[in-house]
Amino acid sequence: MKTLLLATAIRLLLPVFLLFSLYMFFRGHDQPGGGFIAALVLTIGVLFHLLALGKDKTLRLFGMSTYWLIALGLAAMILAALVGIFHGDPMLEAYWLDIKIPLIGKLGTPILFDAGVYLVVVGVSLTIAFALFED
Amino acid sequence: MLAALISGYLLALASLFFFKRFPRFISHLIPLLVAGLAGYYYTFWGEVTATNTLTFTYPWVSTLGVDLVFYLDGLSLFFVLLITTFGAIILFYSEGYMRGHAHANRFFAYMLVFMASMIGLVLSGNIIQIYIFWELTSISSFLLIAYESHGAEARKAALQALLVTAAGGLALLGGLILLSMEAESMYVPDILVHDFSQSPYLPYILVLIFLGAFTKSAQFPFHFWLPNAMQAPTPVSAYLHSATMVKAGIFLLFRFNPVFEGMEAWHYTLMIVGSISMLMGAVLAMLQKDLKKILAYVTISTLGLVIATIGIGTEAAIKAALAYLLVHALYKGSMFMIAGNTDHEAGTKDIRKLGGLAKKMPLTAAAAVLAGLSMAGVPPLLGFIGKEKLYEASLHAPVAEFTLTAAYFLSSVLYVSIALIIAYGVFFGKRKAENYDQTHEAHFSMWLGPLLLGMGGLFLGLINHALAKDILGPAVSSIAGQTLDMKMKLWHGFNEVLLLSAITLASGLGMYLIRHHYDRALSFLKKLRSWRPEMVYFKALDGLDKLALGQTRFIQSGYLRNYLITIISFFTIVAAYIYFRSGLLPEQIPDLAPVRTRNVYEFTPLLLIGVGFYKIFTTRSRLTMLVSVGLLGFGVASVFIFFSAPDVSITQFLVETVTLLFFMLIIHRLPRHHLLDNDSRRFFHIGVAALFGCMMTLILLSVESAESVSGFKNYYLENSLPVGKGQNVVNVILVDFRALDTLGEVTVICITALGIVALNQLNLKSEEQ
Repeated sequence: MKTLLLATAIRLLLPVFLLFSLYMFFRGHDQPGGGFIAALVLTIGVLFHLLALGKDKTLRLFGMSTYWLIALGLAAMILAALVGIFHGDPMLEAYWLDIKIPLIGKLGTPILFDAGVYLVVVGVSLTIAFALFED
Repeated sequence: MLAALISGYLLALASLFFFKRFPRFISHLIPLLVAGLAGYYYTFWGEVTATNTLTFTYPWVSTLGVDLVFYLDGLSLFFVLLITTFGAIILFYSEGYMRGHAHANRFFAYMLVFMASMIGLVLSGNIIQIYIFWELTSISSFLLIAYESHGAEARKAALQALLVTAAGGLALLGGLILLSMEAESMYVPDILVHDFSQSPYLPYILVLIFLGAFTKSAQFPFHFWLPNAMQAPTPVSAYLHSATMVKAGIFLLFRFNPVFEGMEAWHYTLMIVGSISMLMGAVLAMLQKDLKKILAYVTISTLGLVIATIGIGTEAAIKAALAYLLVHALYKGSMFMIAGNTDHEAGTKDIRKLGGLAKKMPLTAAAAVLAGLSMAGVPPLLGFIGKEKLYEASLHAPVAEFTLTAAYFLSSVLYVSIALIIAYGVFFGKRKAENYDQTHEAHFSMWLGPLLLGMGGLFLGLINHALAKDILGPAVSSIAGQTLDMKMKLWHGFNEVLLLSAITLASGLGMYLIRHHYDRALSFLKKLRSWRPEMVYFKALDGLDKLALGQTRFIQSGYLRNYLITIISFFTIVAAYIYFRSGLLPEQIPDLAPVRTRNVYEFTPLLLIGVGFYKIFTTRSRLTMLVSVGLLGFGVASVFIFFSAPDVSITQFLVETVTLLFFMLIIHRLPRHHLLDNDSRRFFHIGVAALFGCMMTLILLSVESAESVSGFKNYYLENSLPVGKGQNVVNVILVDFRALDTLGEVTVICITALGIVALNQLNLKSEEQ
């Protein structure tokens, strides 16, 4: 799979994958998209990168172990779940901030929760990919 | 009260994280803080009396009728004072003993967790708390025994202690639940006043509670874990395995004594099991050569003695049991620390190699003498009073007074002799230690503790009157379930009890002198080794391994297709059974008219699916097969578009892509594609797949027709925007309405990833070999 064409293309395309994935993530609450879908989009980009350029170059993209992504994701989800408890509500009760940011939209614990899903799914699929891949 | 309990756990955390940076500071601070905690509990002294108990309630899971309740009566106060006072002394001792150990932070953290759990246990006002803290003490004990985790022996001993005591804990849970079902309350005070004599569950309750108590207190036939647990660092043995944790079983028996009092099964079981453990422990203790092993067997013996005394059940017996418990805690805590000192300074715990240490370690020797005198029961120490009380109880026992007195007498004689071995043989006998000349007194922190406890035995013996009235009195009252006055006296006048005490001392001295003959006479016991109860434990463990191996061989064929067939056919059968039994089959096929009115081009996905399906079965190339599966998936995904489920569709498209890419990662590592099954087998597979498909279709049809009844769909559609603040219903369901499900699923994904990584590394390792 190490073709010059793919290698060059994926270098240019990876930021687009990332951008598109973020776009899918933030539109997810109102339109088709969301954490899981966005995570898969990014995963596809990185998998191409892995196939075209090899493990070392792809690992260098992250600067941290993919386990960290999983851990951070789970932490975000649990944090989102705990907000309700600290307010005396049931676990996972949704809380929203009043502000609305252009392009991103409303912020609240469900978004944090979704971000957790995003990180976990990216982390898990890349962990598996790195484990299976051999140069 | 809650804060006091939690402070122990917080201190444990603090020790874990900050110990390495400030080892001296923290290791000195911990005993001080624990002493402060003890001081806090001492403030209840006087407030808690035979008639006045305190209850602290904190709402917890109120909907299930479970609140955090701390119940402070005479019994729990007695135990809390014991735990915190000993905790402070032994933690101070640990400061010296553990100095310089690499993982001392863990040691202190585990010790504090244990202490806090023990406090929680004795203060528990509801059965759920009792169980949780009970198991927490087992777990912290496990961690402490396995502290020297690089030693295989320590790990084995720790596992054994955990398995035995945690299994007992499970039995206890059963017993507690039955108790609460009968009494219709989770709260200990309610259970204590309930009359169980007519309960049909009574036999089960008794057996389960006994299992819990006897495993924890190392009673025959579960005693074997305790001597093995001596692998733990000595402060642990001093604290957990003599003064506190093993007494949890006795605490339990004390706690529920009012409930079962008067039931024959209760009294006889306690007397019999207690007496067996008492005699067996004492006899075996004399045969041991390792100081800590000797002390461990004496502990088993003494716990048996206390349990047998509870079994007698008279007022005098309850008083004697509690008094002797305190006596034992004092001298045994002290002796363990003394054993630790000889080990630390003279380099051995073997009594054959120790002797004449008094000149080198005068203060430790002084502590040993005090503890030994109390153990032997010499006036005016507390041990003497304890022994008098025991004889008084056994001589006036309602049944079997002769047998009991004889058993007490025999074990007491052996105690006297063992006390001489430890206090006299080690410290005053001939110089035997190899490095005798280099031996010197232990550090201040290491002789203070044993000396304090030894002096405690003397001091409490002298102020026995106040001790009996203020501390033991309320405790005895709560054990007996009625107000009792406790009195102690050093001098009872000349009577049979005093005579027995004197004969005991004299015989003990005699036994000490002929101890070598004793060893020889009992050497036949070695032949019985293969009959000891521990063998059952080993056999059970071994059997478990074999069972696991056998069922793994049976279930795990190693062929993916077999797993798939098993999973799919199991699901199909179960689903079909439930489906047809509960009559879920829709009465009429739902109206498919909307499908029929669609445009022709919407059938193109079916073409994709068909082509993919056909190619999968006909191709011999793995790559083609992969692409065909992808084609099939894309076809299904496009169907979703036409039925306005864009989220599902996008997800399906992406998942198909990712799956394909994953295959690309490993396709060159897969072996060449072979057809492993013959045709009939393949048709069987096709049949299973078809059945599964039919079942799914049926279920979907039923779901479709049940949809209008349940109203779930409409609920989500209507509430998504106002409640979930999102227009994408699918996403709102995932991250808000049913977020708990998502959390669970995501956790499963994480575990899967770990499994794949682990399996892959296993593979790499075997390749390297």
